[in-house]
Amino acid sequence: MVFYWIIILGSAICLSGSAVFALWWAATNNQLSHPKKGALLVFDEEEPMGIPTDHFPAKSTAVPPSETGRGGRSV
Amino acid sequence: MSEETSPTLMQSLDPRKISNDSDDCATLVEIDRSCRAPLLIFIISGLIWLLIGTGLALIASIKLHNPNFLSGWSWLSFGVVRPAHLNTVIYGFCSETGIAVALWLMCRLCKTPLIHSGIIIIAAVFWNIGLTIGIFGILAGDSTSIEWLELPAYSSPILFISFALIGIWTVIAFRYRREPMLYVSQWYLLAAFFWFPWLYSVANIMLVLEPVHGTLQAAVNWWFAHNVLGLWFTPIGLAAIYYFIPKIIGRPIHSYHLSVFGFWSLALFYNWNGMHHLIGGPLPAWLVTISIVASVMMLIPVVTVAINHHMTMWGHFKAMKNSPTLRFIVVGAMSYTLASLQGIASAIPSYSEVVHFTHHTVAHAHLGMYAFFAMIMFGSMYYIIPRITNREWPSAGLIYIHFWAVFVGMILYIVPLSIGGFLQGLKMNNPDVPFLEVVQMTLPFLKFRTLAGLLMTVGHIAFFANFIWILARCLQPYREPVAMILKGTIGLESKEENS
Repeated sequence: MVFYWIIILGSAICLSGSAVFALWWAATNNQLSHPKKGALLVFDEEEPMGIPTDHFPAKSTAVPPSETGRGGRSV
Repeated sequence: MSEETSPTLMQSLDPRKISNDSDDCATLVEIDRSCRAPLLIFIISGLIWLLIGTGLALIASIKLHNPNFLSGWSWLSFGVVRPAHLNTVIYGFCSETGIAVALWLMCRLCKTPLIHSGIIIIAAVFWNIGLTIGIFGILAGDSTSIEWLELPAYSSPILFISFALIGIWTVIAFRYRREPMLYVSQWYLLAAFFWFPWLYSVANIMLVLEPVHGTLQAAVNWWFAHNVLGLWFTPIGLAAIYYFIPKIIGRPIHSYHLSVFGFWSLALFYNWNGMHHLIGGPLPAWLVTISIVASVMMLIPVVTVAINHHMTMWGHFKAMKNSPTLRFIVVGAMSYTLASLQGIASAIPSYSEVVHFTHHTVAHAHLGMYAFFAMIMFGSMYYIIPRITNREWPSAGLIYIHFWAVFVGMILYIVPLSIGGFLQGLKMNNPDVPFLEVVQMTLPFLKFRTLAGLLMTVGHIAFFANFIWILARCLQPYREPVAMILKGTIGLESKEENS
């Protein structure tokens, strides 16, 4: 029984502790204070915001503006 | 970070701090190219497991309304085939493609190539060896009979070694990230890679290696089974949704604050949920009650995620017409909301009294694992595979067949089985109804289930054919112009051919 208590309590303490540490790390490293910057992280110079990046292979020659709502692009 | 400046394994394991210089970000071409071999191993094996799992599912489904089907072989009896199906799709298809998608997302968001790919390749080999041994063990009658943990004791340590290697790689990738700021998808992925080894090892110790006794077994079992979905598959699926929807439509997520809030509320509430499967069971009332409360509290992350995804897509739903990835991802995201709301409803005791021990639970499990997670994985693979193979998908027709077959198939599966399960529960709770009548009442719904399974099989075969076709194209010299999305890769390929 002691064995099970060690596993259950040990893992519960480790997990709770790591969650608290992760939250503390995020708060002290400005991970939670720049939401606009965070939201833009999926975009970069190669695949900038406003450019759709996926389409059916047969339709790879053009994406009409009305379909994307973002001005479209020719490829 | 180019290959020349990649750290050695010993440098990567050195605990001293390294700088995260954002000026040294890898190009998308470098990242995709570095992911090619390790990801393809996981994806190829994952898709093979999908086909095997689909075949086993069909056998199990037919047996439910035609018990004499393949009755001559004991290793194909329902009690063997059903756990074999579950484990091939959970640990084979879902986990392997999930790991592949997670690795690619980590590299893209960390803006680093996939360094130390040997670790991942060894992990993939170990994973498949462990799983193959385990599935053969189940078919041979060695199943542990513990739901979601049926793999025999001699195979699970091999899977754990594999997962430990992937965990080590994740820590290294995180340390060497070139983008100091974390995107919400990284929060989900890091948590998933941290949570799953904990779940898997604790459950294996307490249920297989040194089993606890009595009703505690059921408690640990459902703590594990429910959390595998919520703390392993769900974070990977949500990470993919949060990446692909903004990426494909070219619009940032509606509210980044809301997305981070959704992550932390999931982390806080989900792991208490498992005991709602044992409502009415011989467990302390406080244990079940806490689980019911936490299940209802899951409304917070679920509604948060649903609002955020819907508002991001608002005005862009027409983009689904052009993007195969977006079709699958949006269907998967909507299914996540539906599966979660259905799960919350099932945790309410008065509703649970009806649907517990019925086909409704099976429909709910498939709404979560197939309509949500598998659809997200299909969509992610449609985006990732052309980039890592440097080839476009050969056939748009096969993509259409795949999407519509699995979409109609999952509706035909989930809706009738949910209704049939609910009616089954009402009749089972009525002592005046003979049990045989209840069984016969479910037969039409079970036949719908087989029909739906056949449709899904068509979809899976179409996807696999397209995938094999794209791999075959990789063996041919590169000659055709592909879309602008692969422009950087084209340049790299040309340089390679010239040299």
